[in-house]
Amino acid sequence: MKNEIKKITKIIDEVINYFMFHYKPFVAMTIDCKGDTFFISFVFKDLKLSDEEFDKIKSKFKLNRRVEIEDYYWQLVGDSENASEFTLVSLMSDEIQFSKDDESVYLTITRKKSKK
Amino acid sequence: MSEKANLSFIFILPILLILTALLTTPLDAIFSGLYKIILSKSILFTDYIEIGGFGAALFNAGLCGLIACILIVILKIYVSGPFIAAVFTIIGFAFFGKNIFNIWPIFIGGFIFAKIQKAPLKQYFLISLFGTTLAPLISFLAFGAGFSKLYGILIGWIIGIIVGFILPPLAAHMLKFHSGYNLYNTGFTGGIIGSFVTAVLRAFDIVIENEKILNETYDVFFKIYFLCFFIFLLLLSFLFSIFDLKKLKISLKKILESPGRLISDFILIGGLRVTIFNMGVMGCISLIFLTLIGGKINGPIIGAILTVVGFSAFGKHPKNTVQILIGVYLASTIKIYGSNIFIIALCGLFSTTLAPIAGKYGFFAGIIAGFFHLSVVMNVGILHGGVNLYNNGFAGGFVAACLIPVIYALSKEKED
Repeated sequence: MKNEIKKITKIIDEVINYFMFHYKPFVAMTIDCKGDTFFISFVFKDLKLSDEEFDKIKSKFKLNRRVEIEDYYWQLVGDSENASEFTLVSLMSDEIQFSKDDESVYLTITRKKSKK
Repeated sequence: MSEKANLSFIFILPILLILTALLTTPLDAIFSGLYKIILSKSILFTDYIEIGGFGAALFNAGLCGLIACILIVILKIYVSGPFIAAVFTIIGFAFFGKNIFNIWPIFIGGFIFAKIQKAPLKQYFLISLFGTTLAPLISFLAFGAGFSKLYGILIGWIIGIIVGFILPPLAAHMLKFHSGYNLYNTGFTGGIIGSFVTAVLRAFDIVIENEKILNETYDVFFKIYFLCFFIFLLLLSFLFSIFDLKKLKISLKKILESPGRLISDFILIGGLRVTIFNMGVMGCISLIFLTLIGGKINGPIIGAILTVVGFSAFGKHPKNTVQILIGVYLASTIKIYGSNIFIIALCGLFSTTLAPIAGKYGFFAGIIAGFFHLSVVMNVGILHGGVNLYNNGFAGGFVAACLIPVIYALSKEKED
């Protein structure tokens, strides 16, 4: 499927944009491509999110992937500084894990290539 | 609420309209009216209530909505906010431009695009649903361009399929132009395609001229009819929430906090109950606005009201739309269009396509957006000659693209 890499970079843009705008943390990121699946992992070090902030972001990541929405609206991902487009990130992802501990925040996004 | 409830909900209005038609109009009058509707050019503004009569117009609207709903079921699509908006928009515009003849080529073009992309058929169906904005192009080529009927239908359908085919990549691309601040994005895309096609047709001496066929005979009936429907929506949401009004309140807060920028899917944000409540409220606000400015209901106004209600599942709520309506009204008091109540009502209701500007940048930004929208919308229709039904979506794209960079630069949110 076309635009697959663009979609991955847009998702990364969106995440980085949001966290840099609000917290300016130290960010470590890896992208791993295994077969038809991309794993994008972020570690935001020295970032302490309040429970309220954490839950607000996490609630955006609870949605299932929707191809019928994704292919229309994916171009909007990546240019917003608030969390509203995390909804779209969620609609473009097969699995999202979002967690935190006393020192860092962890985000892993799994996205399979669109079905052919 | 379950997925089934979402699906059942979109069937309510199409069935209601069909039943109303069958109960008020003899069957032969409905079918003869429907035939006249199909044969009309359907260019902006062709009020199907005038062309085919009251019953046929209702029947056509219900049938178009039912076709959309059945295709959603067949394609196994999860009914979320965008699809509710699309179904209500199709029903609304089936009072003045979309009919059971001219919507199919757009769908077929979208399906062919999906096939060529080796994607599931449902992948581009949302764009196809909204893409029926260009349905009048098919009717015009079939019955208004001077071709023989058979040849015209053939050309109309071929062009319609091509348009349906090119819409998915274009609609997605055009979002960048206004950054999601124009809710009727397909209207903007349709305006671009319509202008392109119209320019080519003009080069072959095929001139598309705007129509203004309106029927306001049933003003009082429709005001009561739709008021009852919107109250029914409010009651339905209360009925669903009878044991949990607190949750409804929390969900409503979530929706009202949303700026409404694409994509703000209220089904995902707050659930079906509160979305229905918001739709009912927005329907009542639309009727109040119309009544306050002295507007009367005709086909296009029904389209505008139902579009507002549909998009109340996908971006619009009272907090981000009222200021746009005020902006349009203020503009009408000092501009030359002030005496044309129909235009003010239509532009006012459709101008809420710019709700995300008000939602994101506040009350005055909304008023400014509405103020400029009225002028722009009166000057872009000539480009596509009326083949693009979502003319306000076309205009809204330009308004948003011009205003957003300036408002963003001046807004307090800006850092550095």
